[in-house]
Amino acid sequence: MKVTRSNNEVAIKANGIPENRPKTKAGALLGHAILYAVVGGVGIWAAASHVLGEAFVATLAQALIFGIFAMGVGFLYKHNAHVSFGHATWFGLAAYFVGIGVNFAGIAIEIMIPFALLIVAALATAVGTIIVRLSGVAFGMLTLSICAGVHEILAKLQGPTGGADGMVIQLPPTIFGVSSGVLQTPTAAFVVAWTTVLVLAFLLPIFAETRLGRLTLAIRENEERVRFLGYTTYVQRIFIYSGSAVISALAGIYFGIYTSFISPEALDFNTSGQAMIMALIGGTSSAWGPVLGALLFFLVRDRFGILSSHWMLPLGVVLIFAMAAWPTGIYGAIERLRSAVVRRISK
Amino acid sequence: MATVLNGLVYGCLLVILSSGLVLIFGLRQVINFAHGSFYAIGAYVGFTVAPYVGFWLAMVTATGVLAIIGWALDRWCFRPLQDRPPLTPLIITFGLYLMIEDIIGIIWGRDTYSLATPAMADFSVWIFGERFPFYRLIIISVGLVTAAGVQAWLRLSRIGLYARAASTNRLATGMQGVNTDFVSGLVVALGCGLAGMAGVIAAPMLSLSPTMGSIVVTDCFVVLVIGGLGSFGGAFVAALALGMIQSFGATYVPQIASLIPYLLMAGVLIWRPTGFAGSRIH
Repeated sequence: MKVTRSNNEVAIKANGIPENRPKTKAGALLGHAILYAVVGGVGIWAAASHVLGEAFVATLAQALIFGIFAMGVGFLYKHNAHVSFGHATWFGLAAYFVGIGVNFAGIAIEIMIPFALLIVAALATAVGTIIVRLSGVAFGMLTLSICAGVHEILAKLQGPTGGADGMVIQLPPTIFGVSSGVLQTPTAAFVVAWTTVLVLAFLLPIFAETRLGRLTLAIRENEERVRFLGYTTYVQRIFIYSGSAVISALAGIYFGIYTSFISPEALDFNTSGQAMIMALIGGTSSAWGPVLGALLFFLVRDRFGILSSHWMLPLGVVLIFAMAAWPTGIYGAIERLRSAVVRRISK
Repeated sequence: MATVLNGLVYGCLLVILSSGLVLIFGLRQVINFAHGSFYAIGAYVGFTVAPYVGFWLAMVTATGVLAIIGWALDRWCFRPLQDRPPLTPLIITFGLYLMIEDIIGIIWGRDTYSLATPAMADFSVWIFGERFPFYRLIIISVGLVTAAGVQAWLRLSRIGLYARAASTNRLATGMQGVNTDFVSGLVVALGCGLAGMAGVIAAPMLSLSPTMGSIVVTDCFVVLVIGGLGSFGGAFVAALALGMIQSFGATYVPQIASLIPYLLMAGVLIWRPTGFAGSRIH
């Protein structure tokens, strides 16, 4: 038990929240915002001016969409210490909701997108009330079982949603005033996903500094002590679960619009596993970690053709070594390297 | 009646697999994600050696091979990681699951195979006026004998006593002079060996494919969640119940049969969040 506690203390440092961290100032925030805007602009310019090449941009677009998905998983791990083996449920269901609303109810897609996010938030809150009480191991098994159950329902459900074959989402000619043909090009998908990644990477650290964010981090470290201080801890955990589901759902909607197709395969257990692995290999201490993991996953997979059929073996090996030797992920390693350099310079 | 017996057959397979999971969880607080993959390895090993040594020796071989793998898993994975947060070994076994599914595909290919039913059991018997394959009765008896054997081993033998003590309080047991690492290695080996055995005895009835493990492991997880983690009796009852429900579901409501386990799990969790056997989830 004692050893586990000292591990937690390491985890606090790995999460970048030592006690003496100065509060985020408005000036620092503004600096961050400008930095992100510049980085975002450069990225969009690079994609739009075909410097990178169409195929590479397509890979990047896909990687960033899954990066957003993995951000949801990483957010849940960072604030709740829960590893979800079933987040593809929210990723896929959101796309299904958009598809069903647009194809069969004739609702405008501009209304359906926020509505789908809302349904996911409501469903995730309902599921969360049951499962956030459980500890890590039981939570993982349960999310897996829920994922398998929802996959089973959609695969068996014959009729308009197409069962295991999936369904085509009939996009209207324009979405938010932009022609949907344009939106489905890799460049546009990249721009949308890249902007979302930047916005999320900007907002999530701010959330971590809010009262609620700090409270959930405290709950993660020692729920009993937080309860003893007079806080409720249950509602916050549900909120985090629901929030992480919405982030992943956003990625699912992009995925559905980009490919204008959704099938049960998008919410099976392997998709969940991939997102979880991207988040863990990338590192969950920062919102950027899962995005790094996703980029690495897709870039390596596209570089080596053989990996598109045998991705499981190398991924399993990487996951095992990452978890055993490198529990803070790529981002954690970068952080450690940076602090080592800073220490060397300041000496 | 055949429905009841078929339910028992699948239930008994789940009993063997989930008792392995419960054993490992008890000693190492790890849910072995790769348990279904070990079951698949067992089936393929049995399939490979059965033409040379016969079915029953193939079963022994597969059990032995998996027991060695299990011991190695404990020695080089669970033991070095026992002071890490419990999620770490869980995720590592998930990585193993990914690896093994691919490795099986590389070694044996992605085609489906089936293992011939052993000749001495390849006939049908009449039970309550219905024909029933005798081999399935063997599966039922192997499952029940295994469950009883593991229970007896835990209750009656000295090592079993150590195992129960170590799963209650590892530190105190170690202080009494029990080599808890040795006991854990033995128990994990036994649990994995049981998975291999289940793979071989299931092989004549089901078809062999690299994904056979991931299909069964979700059912095992449902069993553990319903039965309450770490509870032997709970897992036994839940496994048999799940087998029955699936069998009856497949006969009477085939459209939703594959959903019933999940609905059942959701129901149990809403009603009793810690499963049938009470408060053992932690």
